[in-house]
Amino acid sequence: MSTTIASPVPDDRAVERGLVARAQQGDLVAFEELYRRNVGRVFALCCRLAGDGLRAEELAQDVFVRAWQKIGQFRGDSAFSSWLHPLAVNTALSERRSLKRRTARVFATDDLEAFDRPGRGPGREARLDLDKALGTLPPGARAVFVLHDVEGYKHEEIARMTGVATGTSKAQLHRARRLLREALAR
Amino acid sequence: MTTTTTMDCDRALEALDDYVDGTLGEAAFQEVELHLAGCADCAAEHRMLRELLARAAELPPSVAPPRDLWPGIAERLAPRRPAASRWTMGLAAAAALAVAVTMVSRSGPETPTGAPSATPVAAATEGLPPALEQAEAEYARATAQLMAAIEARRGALPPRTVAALEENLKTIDAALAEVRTALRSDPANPHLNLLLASTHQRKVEVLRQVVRLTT
Repeated sequence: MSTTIASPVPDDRAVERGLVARAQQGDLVAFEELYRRNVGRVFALCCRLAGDGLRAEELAQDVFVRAWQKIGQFRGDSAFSSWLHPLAVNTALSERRSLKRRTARVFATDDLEAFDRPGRGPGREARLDLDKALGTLPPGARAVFVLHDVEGYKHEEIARMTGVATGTSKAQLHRARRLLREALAR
Repeated sequence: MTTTTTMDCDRALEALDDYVDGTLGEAAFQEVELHLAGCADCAAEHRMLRELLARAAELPPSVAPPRDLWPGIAERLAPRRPAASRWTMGLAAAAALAVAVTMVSRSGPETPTGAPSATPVAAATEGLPPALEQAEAEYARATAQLMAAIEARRGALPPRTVAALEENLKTIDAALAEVRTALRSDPANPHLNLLLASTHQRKVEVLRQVVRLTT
């Protein structure tokens, strides 16, 4: 993927490696610190993929529970956040697949108040608008837009992660971009 | 729309995604460029698309959740960790139950004087918290009574059963020793407390089965 994930500075990487090693030994305090360092990134991703702030809270929790279960598989050859990111995407996408039976949540547009915090500076309104507009998208189109245009994945990667053809991913992106342009132009 | 380009608006809009993503071939790229230069509507669409992508790039990569999600995570990573006293009280209650059941299952009127292979409780439980020691003592009483009942009927038991019993007891006692060692360094650990209780229960259950064979 082409997403640039802010790499911790060397000292911080060493601290993180220590935390990971302790968490791999079952140290909950160390794992909590890893949670605190990464929850913002995971929560933002879950909000955008789920289109529902409340559901995103549950999803973010699922992500860290899965991370705890799988942390033994983390080899430490990348930043912990880079290892966690695809895990978060997969967790949110598998949720999206099972959400087909719970479509009521899909079109939620008014519960992303987590983003509505004061003091963000001049660009704040535009960002809020886009986050809210994302919530109005059909789930497939939203997932592809978030993964491609926000997270920087390529269509081939998205196709693998979502189990659709590359052409479908492109078509969904085209649809999402058109719908978002219309929503933001209103 | 303009008629000065060879690409029509539909095709241009269709190609716009690949155009901004930089995935168009050179010829198609030039065609779109040419079309946008001469078509105000499509040029406006192109500007809006660029603006959308710029906004997407500006979305904050990190958003703090409105509440602390950690407590909900922590309780799913390990069973709730209550005060140690609750576990040890539960363990003591389980031990008392084992004793009661043992008394009922004993068929003979004899008073147990301690079984030959009963674990020396005081030594084994040294270093454990007092509440745990008390629970251990209760279990020791239960197993001692069952052992006495078995001893009284040893002659009626097939040698193979006696051998299997001794083998089982050796395994269980080794497991108990291991759990006690772990508990000395982490006395409040609920898993270890439960493990101690269930291991004791297994021992009681094994003994009880043997007693049933002889009654």
